[in-house]
Amino acid sequence: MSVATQNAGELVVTFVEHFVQVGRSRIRYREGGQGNPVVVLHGKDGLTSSPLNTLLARQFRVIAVEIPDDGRPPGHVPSQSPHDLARTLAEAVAALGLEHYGLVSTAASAPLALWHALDLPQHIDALVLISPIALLPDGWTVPSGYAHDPALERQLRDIHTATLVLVGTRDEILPAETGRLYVERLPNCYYALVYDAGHEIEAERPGALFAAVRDFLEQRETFVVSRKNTVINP
Amino acid sequence: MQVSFFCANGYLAREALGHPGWPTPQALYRSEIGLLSLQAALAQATLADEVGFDWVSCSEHHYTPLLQTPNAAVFAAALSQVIRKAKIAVLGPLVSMNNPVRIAEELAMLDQLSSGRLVVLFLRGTPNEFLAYDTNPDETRSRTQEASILIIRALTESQPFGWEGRHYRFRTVSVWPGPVQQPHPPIYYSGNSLESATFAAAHRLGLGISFYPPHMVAQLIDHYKQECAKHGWEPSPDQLLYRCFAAVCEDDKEADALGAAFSGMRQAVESLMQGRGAALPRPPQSQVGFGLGELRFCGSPETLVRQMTDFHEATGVGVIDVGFAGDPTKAIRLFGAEVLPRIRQVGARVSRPPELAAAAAD
Repeated sequence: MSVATQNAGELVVTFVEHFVQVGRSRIRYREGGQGNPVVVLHGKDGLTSSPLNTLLARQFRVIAVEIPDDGRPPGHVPSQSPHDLARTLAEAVAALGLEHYGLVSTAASAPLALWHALDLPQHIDALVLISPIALLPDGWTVPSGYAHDPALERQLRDIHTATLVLVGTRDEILPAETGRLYVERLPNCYYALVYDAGHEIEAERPGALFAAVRDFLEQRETFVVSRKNTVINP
Repeated sequence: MQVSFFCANGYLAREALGHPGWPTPQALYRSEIGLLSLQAALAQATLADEVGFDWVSCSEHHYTPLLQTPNAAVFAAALSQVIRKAKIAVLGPLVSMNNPVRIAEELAMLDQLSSGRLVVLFLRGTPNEFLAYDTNPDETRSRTQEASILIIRALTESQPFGWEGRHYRFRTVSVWPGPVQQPHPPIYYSGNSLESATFAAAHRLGLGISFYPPHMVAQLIDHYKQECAKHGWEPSPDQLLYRCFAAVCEDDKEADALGAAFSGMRQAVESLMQGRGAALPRPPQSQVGFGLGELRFCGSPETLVRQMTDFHEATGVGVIDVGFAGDPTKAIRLFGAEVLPRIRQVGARVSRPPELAAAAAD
């Protein structure tokens, strides 16, 4: 077990590294914060310190799970498909004893999150897909990490979990309108554009990303209702 | 070259027009004169359409009898019901200080009301405008840029979406009706600075420049075209818009007299820049000095043809949006009869009208 401390504004959040055994795979995860649990699947940078995780850990119990099929953790069993990999991760989450949780994915981990939502909808309160690489507009250049998964695409309409898709307006890997593809396929999906962010929304506009993710995890469909106080002099 | 008639909808009584400074108190407003002013403006717009102006334009401005269009969309809606052929040009909404989603909704409605004849320019606003809605002047550039991107997205996005911006947050946007013109009406961006011209080029927007002299317009357009090339596109002449004031009379002497008396909006802006206005960012000196307060084109029809032709050749501008000094009705008739037909071909295959080309050859 190792401990990492991340400074989220004035609040110091400590993330602790653990491992969970799933079959012959030893899966690493980092946990920090308290509150309702949120499982986070990382993007291409792996299980590194994350501004979003740090911000989320101010009010959620954040469990950032390492995707074991990227060759980094020693001793894991490579999965055969995204669906198999999603099952492995689901077993890891189950082994942690989580009953209900939010699920947040970034970029190429989106297919795993979607499979997870298909397999275990009863456990997932809200699904957040950040710069998701799972669906692409026709004719768009295939980005790194993308693998066409027709089986997944066919079943997207069966995902009824409240889902939020976030795409940066300056994303050069995914066109901003990618979010619309998810809205057209998932029956309970919202898509939001993060202004002036590229593909790495978390690095470029962490505060804006956090605000949207937090509100959606807390309120799901009702996150569209503003609670902004506009009274100047009560 | 295309020409747009800038329909200012000015108030018609000297008592209010002569008020020094900004804002003008409503105590000077007389409703019967206000109604007559509006009727006169709509009649001018109708006439401009009939004599062949390509566009009729209006702009959002606040608290002044010079331009009685605090909501340009409302006035444009009225224009759309009296203008049959010309495009309705909203040049424009002040996007730095309004709700961008509301602007998108209004633009879509206007495109519908005009059967797809809407043209729009996104304006930041003059410093005094920022006082009207309690807008922080230091934020207006970034607000204008973000609002412009959001408005375009709102006009073009086929599914409901949310917006997590720097200045704006909307969790549900789904504009209805949508625009008639697809993907959206022609859009220009106010480009009186290198930075704004760069922004316009990066987002494939037309460029609108106001009041500057030809050499400054040419510099901005050169910069804009270089930036467009960096982004892999080339603007057409009709994506280069210039707003100015002009006087056209039967002879040069009469026009010169009008020009000598013309101050445009200079008095109001200069007055504001004193006193409380000292806290506002100052507009470029050139804009106050010879932009807002001067006639760019002034003279007989013959003179205007030559001036506008020279201006086009110096700058490449393809659309001139002109507000007339003196009696607008008289100016519209004269311009429509004797200037418009002769500058129509400028910028097409040959720049100069045949008679000017022949004179130049002599």
